[in-house]
Amino acid sequence: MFGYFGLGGIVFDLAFFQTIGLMKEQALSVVPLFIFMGYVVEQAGLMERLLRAFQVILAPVRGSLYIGVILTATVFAMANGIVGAAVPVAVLYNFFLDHFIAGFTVGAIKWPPAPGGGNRGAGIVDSHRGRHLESERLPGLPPSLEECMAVAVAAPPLLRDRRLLAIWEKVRNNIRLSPEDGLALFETEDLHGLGRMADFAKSRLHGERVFFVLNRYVNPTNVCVLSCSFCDFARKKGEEGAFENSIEDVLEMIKPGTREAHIVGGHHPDWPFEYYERLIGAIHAARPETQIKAFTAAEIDYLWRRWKIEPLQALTRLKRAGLRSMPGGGAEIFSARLQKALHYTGKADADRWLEIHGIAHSLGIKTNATMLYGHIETMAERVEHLVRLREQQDKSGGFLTFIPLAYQVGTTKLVPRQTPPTDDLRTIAVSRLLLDNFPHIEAYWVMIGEETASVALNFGASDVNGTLEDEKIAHMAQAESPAGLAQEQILRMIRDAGKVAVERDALYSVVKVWN
Amino acid sequence: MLADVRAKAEAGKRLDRAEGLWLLTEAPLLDLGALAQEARYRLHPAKQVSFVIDSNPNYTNVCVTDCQFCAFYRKPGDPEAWTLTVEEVLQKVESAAKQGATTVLLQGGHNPALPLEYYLSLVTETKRRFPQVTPHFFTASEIMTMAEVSGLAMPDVLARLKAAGQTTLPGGGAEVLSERVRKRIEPKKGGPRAWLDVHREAHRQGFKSTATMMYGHVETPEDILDHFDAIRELQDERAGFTAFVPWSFKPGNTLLEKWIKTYKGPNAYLRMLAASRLYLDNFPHVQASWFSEGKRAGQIALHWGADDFGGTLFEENVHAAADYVNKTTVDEIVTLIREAGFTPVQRTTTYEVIKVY
Repeated sequence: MFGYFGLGGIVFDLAFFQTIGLMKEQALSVVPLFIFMGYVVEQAGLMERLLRAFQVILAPVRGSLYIGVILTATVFAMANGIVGAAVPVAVLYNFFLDHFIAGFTVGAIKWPPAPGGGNRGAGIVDSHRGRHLESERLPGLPPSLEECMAVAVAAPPLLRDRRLLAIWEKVRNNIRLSPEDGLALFETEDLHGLGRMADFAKSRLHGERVFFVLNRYVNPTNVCVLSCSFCDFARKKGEEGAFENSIEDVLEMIKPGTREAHIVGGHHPDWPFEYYERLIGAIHAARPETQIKAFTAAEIDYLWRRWKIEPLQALTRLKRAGLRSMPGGGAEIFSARLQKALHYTGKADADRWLEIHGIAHSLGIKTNATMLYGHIETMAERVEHLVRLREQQDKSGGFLTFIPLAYQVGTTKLVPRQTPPTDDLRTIAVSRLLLDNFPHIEAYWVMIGEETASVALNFGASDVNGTLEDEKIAHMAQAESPAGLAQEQILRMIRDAGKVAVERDALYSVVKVWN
Repeated sequence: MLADVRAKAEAGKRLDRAEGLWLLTEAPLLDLGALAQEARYRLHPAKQVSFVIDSNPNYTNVCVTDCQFCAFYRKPGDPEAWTLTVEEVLQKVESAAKQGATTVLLQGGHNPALPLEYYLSLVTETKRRFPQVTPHFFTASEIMTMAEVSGLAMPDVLARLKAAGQTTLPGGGAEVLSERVRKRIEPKKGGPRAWLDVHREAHRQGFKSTATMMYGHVETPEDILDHFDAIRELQDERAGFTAFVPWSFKPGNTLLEKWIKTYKGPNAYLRMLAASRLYLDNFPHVQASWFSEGKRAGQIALHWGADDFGGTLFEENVHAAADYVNKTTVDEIVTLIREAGFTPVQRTTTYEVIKVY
């Protein structure tokens, strides 16, 4: 019709010639023949038998279904020409419906979702976690004292050592333990009973919560004037393996978004106090979101010994530059005997270490505390160390976390082997029970390994430190743990213990509750 | 529940499924450990932990069973496929024997090209050349493969192996004895029946064997209880199991890795050991391993009901194929047991004491 209006009558002639032309085309006659061939092939079952044969031949190969289909199609394309191959697709389709879907749903196509939901890896059958999460109003909130008491009365821990009964009475009633109690706890055979009491004390403070931080471990230098017998980290100036990082080097290490920078180093013979002050100021300016936790009391004491800068003045200026908290290192073990035996007399002694932390606390700088154990110390010395920390906390109150540090044998070899994991669990549990005024006890995975750290979360620990990225002090002493952990690995450690992971910053403000 | 379970365990009464479920899911981990230690000391009052000097070589990695959790096997014709001759296997046995091994745990893929005579000569030659070594050869599914290639019935295969000098069977290949789980991760290996039938027949013929479990993939606590129930019932018949040995699935390089990225942690392992010590009341031994979960986790595990520390495993290839490698020496095993607070005891394949350290 449109042609008629556009071109006039000639359009009918054109249409006539086109039709005749098409009818003269001989190739067209092939179409019904192909359809006929396809029908014959289907009825004869050639395609199906070929596919089945391939299936049988290829059975031991991965992806046999795919390869079988390709080969079948190839053979048919060769036999019939490509057009012919397209026709029996209908046959294939039927074959799929009949034989494959039923068989393969079991295998790969419709993999049933795992119970517990999702492909979260380790958590797929996280059976023993469910209870805690469901029974609490909000995951991980600390229960009240009444709730804890109710739990304790309903299900007191199994105590197999009679000496623990009196201690348990104190623990459940929140009465301070004596040094004798502490010694009994270090000596008891009943590891489970000890752990249960510590777990009770921990739950009273934090419920099911366990804290971690996305942090970066930074050592400005390992050049050190001291020669402590337990240290594989320190080097003399110019010695092989000695390093001195510039402020720019340090800034490069701290990625944007890092919550905490943990900065400790050797007692450098030449670096003036102003260098440290500039370092803190530069980090604070470049990474305002990163809380700076820097310099052990031993380092602050050394600044006084070397440059006669009073700790009060040093800490005041560092705080002004951006220091937020102090790590707990350099305490080693509070014992005059060991200070002599292990050659750390040139280092702040117990009184001085505690004094400097007291000064920091008075300035509003929160700090941590540590204890180096598992070498040649006695249990009584461990108890004494813990009791002195407890007394200091009563006075100044600024300690956040106690971190027991398992001695790494490395090349210093004060003892032939690292202390066993049961000792790590025991030390963490006793610390939780004795240090009733410390908010947190840490399971430091670098020293005790991921497995033991994970189990320790059932022995009173409420913190696992963090990702660290590049820990050096323990690793230069051949620690077996990795130098840093991905957040996913930290979460796995906490979840395996059946606890709720809480991401924190350096000062324990909650960043995020992970479920 | 804690008090109930404790009272029942003390009275020697059998725990039921509800109690088993509590152990596997809700019981506080440390109370569970205390209960399991009580049960362990009732059975083995001495503060001893045993271990065996052994090696764990393999004769072939050719396998047609395509289990999704396995990183070790290769299909027939794969360029990485290998099968050792009898002589080559015996060299491995010799190397283990030279290091003091009393047990060689030999297992391999399901290779349809190997005749029954191959397996029989492995046993006879080992017995002939190294009489001090117990041939702890061939898991249940390998016995089934031998039956298929030889046309013999499974009991006849076991009888031939026994005539050749074999007296114990390793317990591998059980994974989780649950119809649902096995269909999903190893559809070509057969249901729980296949494994249980071989061990039942083996016990009837006087073999001793172990029962294993590989957990931490697609199983639920109910599946684990199915497993526990199945082996506990079988143990009631002839007490042919010497020990129960659980370990966690290692996903490296396996098909299952796509869904399950990591292995279960140490807390799950402790729970599994303690629950099995309490639930499997007719099993003489529960084995913790320095190998499968790490040395330090293994030491802790000795406080969760286990009384055996496994073997020295001079050679091991199956976990290694999943990128999980762990090595030790006899001296280190002895030290690890001591550090955990126990007296090390060297034992045979069937848990007879050889030496108290």
